[in-house]
Amino acid sequence: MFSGLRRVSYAILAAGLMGCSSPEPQVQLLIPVNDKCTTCEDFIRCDGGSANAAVYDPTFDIYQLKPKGTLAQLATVWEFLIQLFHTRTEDLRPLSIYSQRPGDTGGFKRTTTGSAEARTDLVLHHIYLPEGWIDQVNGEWRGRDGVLRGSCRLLPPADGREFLKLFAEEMAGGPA
Amino acid sequence: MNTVAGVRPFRFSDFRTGPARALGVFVLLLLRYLLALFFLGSSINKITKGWLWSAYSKTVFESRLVELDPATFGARFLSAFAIPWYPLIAWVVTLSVVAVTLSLALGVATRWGAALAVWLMVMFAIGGYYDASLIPLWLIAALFIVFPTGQWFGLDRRFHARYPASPWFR
Repeated sequence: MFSGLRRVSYAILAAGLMGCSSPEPQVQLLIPVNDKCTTCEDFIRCDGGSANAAVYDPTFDIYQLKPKGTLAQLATVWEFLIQLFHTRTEDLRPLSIYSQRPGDTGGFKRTTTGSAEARTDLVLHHIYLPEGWIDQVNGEWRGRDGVLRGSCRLLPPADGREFLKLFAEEMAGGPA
Repeated sequence: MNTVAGVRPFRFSDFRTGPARALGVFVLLLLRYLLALFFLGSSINKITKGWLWSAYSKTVFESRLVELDPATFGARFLSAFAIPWYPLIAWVVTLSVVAVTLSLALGVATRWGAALAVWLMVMFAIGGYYDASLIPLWLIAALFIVFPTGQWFGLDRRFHARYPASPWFR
């Protein structure tokens, strides 16, 4: 039995040493999203037009990256176990999109799109959305054709939830 | 090797004499080593990140607090207990995950190690780190409380033979 245990001990030691290998160099991200968190809610605000804060542009989208579903959460056990042998290159998250545009008759037009999906490329650090993608390194917001649409920033979750109340009011027929 | 207190050790030759039992025992032992590997990863992470000698755990808790809805129990638990008491929590968590790793990997005090694993994972869930992946881990750990896997393969067998009255190695 001890020889068997010794073999198991060696295997665990080897696995531990593999875990101590030098880590990949970290890229500084303007829009960091924790791909290991399955229950996190992330809010990314993307503003179109001028990046100049002094020029008011009411056009913006808020991307709500939602917590993963139960099956995706269960799958993380497997991903954790094989991480020594397989490096993940992408992460999928349920997505809702909240858009504000200038209204036809004054005020704003706000729309909500639920049940979409965001795919994060963990190598290129891009977040792919239904109608384009976000560069996590510099915050650029690009369309599907790669044309620059504006810039994005990560909102603190509390601020993101406050923004969503605007859209909830709109749905309930409140002030626009 | 003779049996101890009626529990037969696992041998690969059992696949010839009683394949069904051997397969069940083998699967449970495999799950035990997978859970040990899971806790080994957690142990390495906590030691390399300096949980025992730095405020790293506090930054982990604080960043989790930002992610949580303030109205949730997890958020209140973190702000009222885990963050103010972070050195104590860091020590308890780190030493516990190391103890669970050694217990499951070596098959020593295996049932107690599995119980500690269940308790730890319940604490993680209460502390705002619940997700569905904890459910299979709870169930797997519970199997090692129920079955004498440390006597099938591990040091429990030897220690139980030496200290038959001790509850640690049953």
